Amino acid sequence: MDNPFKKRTTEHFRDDVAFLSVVAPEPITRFLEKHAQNSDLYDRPVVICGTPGSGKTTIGRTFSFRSVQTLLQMRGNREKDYTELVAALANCGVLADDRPLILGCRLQLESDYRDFWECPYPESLKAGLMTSLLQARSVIAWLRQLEEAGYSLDDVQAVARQDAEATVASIGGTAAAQLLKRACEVESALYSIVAALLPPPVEQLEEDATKAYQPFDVIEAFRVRGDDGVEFNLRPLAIFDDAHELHQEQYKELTRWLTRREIRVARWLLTRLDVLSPDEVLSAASTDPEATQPHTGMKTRRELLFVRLQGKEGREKRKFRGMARSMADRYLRHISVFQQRGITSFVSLLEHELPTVSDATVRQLEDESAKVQRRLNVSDSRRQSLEQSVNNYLQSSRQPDSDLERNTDVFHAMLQILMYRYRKRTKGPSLFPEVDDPEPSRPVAANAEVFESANLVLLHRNKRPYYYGIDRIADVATENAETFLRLAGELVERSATQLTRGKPGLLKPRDQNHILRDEADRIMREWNFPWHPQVRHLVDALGKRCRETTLQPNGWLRPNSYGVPQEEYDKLTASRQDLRSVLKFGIAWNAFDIRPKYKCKDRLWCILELGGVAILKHGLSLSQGNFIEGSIAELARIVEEKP
Amino acid sequence: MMRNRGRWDDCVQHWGDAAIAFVQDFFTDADRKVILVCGGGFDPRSRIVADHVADACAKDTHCVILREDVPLTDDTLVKRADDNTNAIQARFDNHQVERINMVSGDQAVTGGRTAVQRVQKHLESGTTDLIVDFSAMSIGVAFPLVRLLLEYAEQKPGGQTVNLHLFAIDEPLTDGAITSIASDRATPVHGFGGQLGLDASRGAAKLWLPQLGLGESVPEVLGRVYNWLEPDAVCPVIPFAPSRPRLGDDLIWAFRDEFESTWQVDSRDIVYAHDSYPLDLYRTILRIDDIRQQVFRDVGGSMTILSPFGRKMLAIGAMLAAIDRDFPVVRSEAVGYRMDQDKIDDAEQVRMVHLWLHGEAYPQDNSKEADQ
Repeated sequence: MDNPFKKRTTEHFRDDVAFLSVVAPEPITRFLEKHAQNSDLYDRPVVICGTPGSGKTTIGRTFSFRSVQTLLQMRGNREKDYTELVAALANCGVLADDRPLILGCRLQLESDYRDFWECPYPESLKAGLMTSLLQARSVIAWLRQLEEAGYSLDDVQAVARQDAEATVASIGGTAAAQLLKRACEVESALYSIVAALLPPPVEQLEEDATKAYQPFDVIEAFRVRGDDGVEFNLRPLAIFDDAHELHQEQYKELTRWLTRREIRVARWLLTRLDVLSPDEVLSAASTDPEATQPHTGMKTRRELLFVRLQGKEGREKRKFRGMARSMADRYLRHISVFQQRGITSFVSLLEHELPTVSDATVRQLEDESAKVQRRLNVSDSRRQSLEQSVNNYLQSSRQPDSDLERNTDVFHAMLQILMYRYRKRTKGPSLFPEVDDPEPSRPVAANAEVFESANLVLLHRNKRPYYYGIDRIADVATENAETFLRLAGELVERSATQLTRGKPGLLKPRDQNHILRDEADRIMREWNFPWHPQVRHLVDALGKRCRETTLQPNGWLRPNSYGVPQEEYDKLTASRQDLRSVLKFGIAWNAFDIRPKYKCKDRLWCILELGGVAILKHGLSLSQGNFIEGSIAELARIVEEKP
Repeated sequence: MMRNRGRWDDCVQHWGDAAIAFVQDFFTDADRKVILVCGGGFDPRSRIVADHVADACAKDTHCVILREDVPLTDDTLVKRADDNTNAIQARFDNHQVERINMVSGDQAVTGGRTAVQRVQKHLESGTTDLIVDFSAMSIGVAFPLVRLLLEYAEQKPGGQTVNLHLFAIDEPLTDGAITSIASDRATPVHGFGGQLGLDASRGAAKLWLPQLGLGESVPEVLGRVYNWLEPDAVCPVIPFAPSRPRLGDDLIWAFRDEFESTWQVDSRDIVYAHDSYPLDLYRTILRIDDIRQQVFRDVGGSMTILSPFGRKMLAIGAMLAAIDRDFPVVRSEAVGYRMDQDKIDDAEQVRMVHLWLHGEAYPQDNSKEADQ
């Protein structure tokens, strides 16, 4: 079966029609629309930052002229499918009245650009060569896309800035064909430098490579004559994807160059956090939009716009859940097994009701509760009041698993937790059991935390499913589209297998739980990024500690994070180089995230939140807020251990 | 269909005892002035060629030992590399160790570029023979190095013919015992970018020839290269190995998802190549390219892109084809290594291979002597 979920990123959908059919409009609406309304999206440089798989390339590709053109051509055929996407792009000012307004091109900042940094030239020359190549390739990409869309270059003219007449000649003039010819000459000359085995000496560099070439300073728009003879203007947008491939200094230079006032072209940088130094990642991971960008020293909102695809700006789980559903449904429509059976909704593959607990299990749980009661010397009357509290909670709560009939196991697990809590709050059993029914120092009552703890205990002890249903699958993806699709893809494959064998495609919660946890384990095993053995070792060590705490009998904490005192984190200096690199790549690759200055117990903490995949693998809570207390020294010690 | 002759179709080559006999006979000539470039790595094959060359002509040889520093390599392997480097140094009076940082601080793969710059400084006129020992070098270093030395030899420095010899130790088990941790970036090998990414080649139909290898992360790494390249067609290279007849089946099984879901490969697309004879793959690649050039001549042309992984002998074949036709070579370079000592201990009898790439074995009237 050709499973599009397994293709993982939209980079794999090479055909534009196939690509657009899986693009969900929500990220565009959620992350970019408000900035378009402020006119920030095209007037200033925009840095779009996110972990791998967070959707940077999808956004970049959707804004390319080729995609917009394809979208406009398809509207008539399958309007229903693309209306929302067209609307989202229209709200971002990409198109209006069936005409594109933006001429977007996406360039991947691959090794060619990084290689300039290795040439033995002065830094200003290296930066100049890089920006010239970027400009030449942008011009080529804009004009080639217009050609592919059916416009003759004779009908395309660059609109030059009014005060730039003197420099028009240096870019080949305003006629598209001449502009293209000059861009190709510059590209070829610059490529011969980076592709050479040994870089040519400065004095032997070709004139085409070193002569002033600044089309971004000259071109304001492209005037295009359509088939109907109507002329319209397109605003050029250069989208530089994978900017993390550059050297840090190059990235800094590029960002500075893009903020120059002379530039009229709209420009975006799409990047992972890798491009930053460990210190910068550790601060940028949590930076608020108003903060100074550490790597450039520039104030965001004033000189450039910083959009983070995950993290503070978009940490609302509910929004991602909606986006995840929408994505999954779009992908599902591409699989013939489901198409043929009219299954168009991913949610319809997921059973969300747990089976009734067997009598044998109920008896076993009753025995366990009785043992706990005896061991802790809890009186019958106290037990009854605790049972009443659990019953009341389960009946009144809106928890999805709160059906009493199906939750005898949860009932007993909660009861046992409450008995332990009761005993802890009465400072242990008395020497005189017959009179031992003191009141606890604080009331003991069932609540959502006890319910969650009970579910997690049952997950580990009785293999009761915990990770199932669309919302939890979306939550464990920690707002990373690629992780969500990969997890969902495994479920889809199992469902398709069942359908092919003539069985119902519905997946039981137990199967969902099992498949998801297996896949999480596989994802972590397959990590293959710098420092990944150390990152995996750290994540596993923290995950194990969180699990041990979660399984404490009184269920006092359900941690999925590790906290270090903020003052220790702030002093994380060069002496901890390895730890800083591990943290940097862990954050950049979504293994964990940093939340600094979290106030708890009258103290500020820096919280290392485990990513969803680690949470899934180690069977931890998905709720935020609980963390185990630790120290930088302990983190450093774990990192120093042999993975 | 007639194909264009390849530069190394009739390459002079020696195997096993014949290769050793060649070294003992050829390099003992007192008039020879030799530069040996070899890897001082953890690979157990590091010392073999250097030892044979030292036996033949230690006094007249300048040995350049490239010590590749790769960040994610455990201490045991680093210790092995130290031992091998010291052992090679001890065999030559005139030696120089060049430490090459394979990965820069920002994780960019810069080893190949650094290596050619360092080795270039050692090239001096009067040299009669350049020897590259491919055995313990990474592909990212060995490929640009061979190209550099070939270009140098072709220039006939001082009007003198310079021989270029490539040596390697053929031992499949050792190849299989070494697992690399790949960089997260797919990049052209330095100096092997071809015309990739240039507007001039935008219309060319891209054929990707990945060399398949076993290993947990190999499919992912090749998947990364595939995503980066976006080829129009994929013809995976599968080695057939007399010592391991089921290797092909194992590889096809390991890559079943890629074959079916993303690469769209069927049995007609598979390229089989002998895993011990580099020129077999070399000739096959050239034949494929010749056919495609004719087919796609009027519709933008064809571009063949190579991605060698795994077996060294096949990588050499791919390198020769890439140099001959300026094919791009794209890989995810290693940023770390692991080695399975048990497999190394099981290693069979090693075999030395010699390919004479340039020089007096061929007619001297132009730079592509082997064509004649």
